[in-house]
Amino acid sequence: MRLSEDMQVCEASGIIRELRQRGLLFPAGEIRTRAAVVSSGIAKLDSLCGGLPAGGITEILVPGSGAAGILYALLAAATSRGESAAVIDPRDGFEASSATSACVNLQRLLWVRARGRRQALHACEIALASGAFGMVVLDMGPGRGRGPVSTAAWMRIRNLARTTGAVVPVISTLSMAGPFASLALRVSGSVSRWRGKSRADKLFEGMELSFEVTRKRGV
Amino acid sequence: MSDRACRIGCLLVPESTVRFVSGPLLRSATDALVDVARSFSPRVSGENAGKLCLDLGGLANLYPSEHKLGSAMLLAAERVGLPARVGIGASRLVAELAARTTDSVQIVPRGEERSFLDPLPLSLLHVPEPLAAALRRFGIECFAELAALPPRGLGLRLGYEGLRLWREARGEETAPLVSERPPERIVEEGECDLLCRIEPLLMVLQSLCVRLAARLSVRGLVACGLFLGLDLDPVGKDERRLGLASPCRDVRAWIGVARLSLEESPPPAPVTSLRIEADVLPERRAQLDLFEPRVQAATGLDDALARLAALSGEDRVGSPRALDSHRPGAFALEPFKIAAGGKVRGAQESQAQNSGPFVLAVRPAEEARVAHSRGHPVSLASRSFHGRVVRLAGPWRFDSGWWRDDPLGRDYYEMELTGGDVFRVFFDHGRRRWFVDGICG
Repeated sequence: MRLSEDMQVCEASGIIRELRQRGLLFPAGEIRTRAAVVSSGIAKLDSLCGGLPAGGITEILVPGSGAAGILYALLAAATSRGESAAVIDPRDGFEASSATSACVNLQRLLWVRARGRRQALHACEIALASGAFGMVVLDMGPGRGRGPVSTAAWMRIRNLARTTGAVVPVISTLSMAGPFASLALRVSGSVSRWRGKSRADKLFEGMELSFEVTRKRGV
Repeated sequence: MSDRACRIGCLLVPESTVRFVSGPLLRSATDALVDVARSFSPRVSGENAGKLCLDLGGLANLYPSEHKLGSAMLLAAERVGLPARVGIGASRLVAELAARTTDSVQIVPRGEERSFLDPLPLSLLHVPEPLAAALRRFGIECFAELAALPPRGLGLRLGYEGLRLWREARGEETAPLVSERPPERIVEEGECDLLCRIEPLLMVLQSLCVRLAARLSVRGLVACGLFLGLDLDPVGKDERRLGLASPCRDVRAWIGVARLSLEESPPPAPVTSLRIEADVLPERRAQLDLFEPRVQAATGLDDALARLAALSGEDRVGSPRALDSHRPGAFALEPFKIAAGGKVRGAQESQAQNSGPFVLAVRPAEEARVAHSRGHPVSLASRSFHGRVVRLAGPWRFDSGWWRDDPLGRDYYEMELTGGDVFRVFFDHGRRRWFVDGICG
């Protein structure tokens, strides 16, 4: 009887070891860490920082062109996971045709054309509090001339993101979320890609972006 | 109570306080009671304010006993804020008297009507005064004595009314129940002291909304829009429509929308009474998908959508749709709903298949000054963007509406400026001007 129990234990530990080797079984803490990051849909960004933190704010500073590609890639990744996503758009720049060509599932997308940044933050809070969205993207646009934004709002957004487990990327030209961002990235370089030599057959194809991590906390 | 009676009452009892029944409140309560009754039976007859008769035939399959049915009716009335009493009997008079002689529910089983009615005094009946005087003269004071009289003699002496009373005293039905149509508009009204500030106004409105939501609930309806009417002091009205992004029965969302509306344009004078009316739709249950991520309950999302619509405007919140048009940036907004169905292609896969160019629109398009050299744009300057043109693609001619008086003719370009930013720019042939229309990336 005793021998049989020992054999069972050996067998079980062998199975556990094999599952761990295959990457199918993790300790609880590890699972939590793994589940806390989701793919951004941008290969370079995922290889740099492993993905975007779920339940936290990710600030992406885009000083020049390139915000469009990032925005649509994030939304495409979220909607392709089967989640609903919301884009809060105080710059009113979202273009449905570009989003369609980036394979964003528009049926899963809520577009809020907020008027100004304060309203955008309020809208973000409402969307997060509903708990219906896996990703809420704040596309804040150029930083100049739109008035200050209170830190209390960012704190509330961070807490709501933490509670609901939503991914909250903030795309802007200047840092806004500051210490409330779990991950802060900056587009360190952008090169435009063009096809064709002569002006007659020249076509703009997109931007090659490179990123650098400026802040990383608990990811 | 007349004004004269009030004055006499106050003289006799100086410490008394006279309270008048509020007409709008009574109307709302009566409508609410009808809604509760109709949630049990389609055949409802409202005889006077506060008293309803229902045909409960066929409900035995739904409720194990008549007592349970009565308790359910009490509970439903309580939900809309109305304390009620329920009597169930074979005839309307028996049921009414059963309700009047109890505090909660009283059942008079079939066949026991006489034993229930016999000891009751005739004063419980609303008998015309000449008839009541005649009965008193005969020495008849209770139901049993009236029921024991010979009908023929009673008919000869007291006429048709006397015979009707005799039949009622025996527990028989004297007239068929005539069903009434339900109130078409679901309105809650209330009066208040002069309210100048928004917070107290919202407190009064909340109590109306709670009752309205309870009434919608018992009828299985949801509100797709609200109409708020405010009576102002001394005269005047403030009427406003409160839009809801999606049908809901959530008082918090309604109050949020009302708050935003009132804060945006406060009433111009103190408010004396409020009225809230709902545009209604039948409630629909959403079927969730087994293989999709769990989403918030529809009411939570409705609440959020309603609040977002109130915050930014109804036409600025929704699910975008690309229009089948050659015009760059053409879109439509549709009401957002939780989409069902399988996954779409993966994001990385889509990136590999279609790498752009992607555009963020500049709305409205920003006017720009473009310098030319040998017919080619060489520099661009607008309010937000400026630089020398480094690379250029285009033009792509766009012609639309040539059959109209104001046709749209544009030449679209993609321009990379010094600094590496790429813009979508067009030249408008009608206005002979350049505009920056989007930022590519």
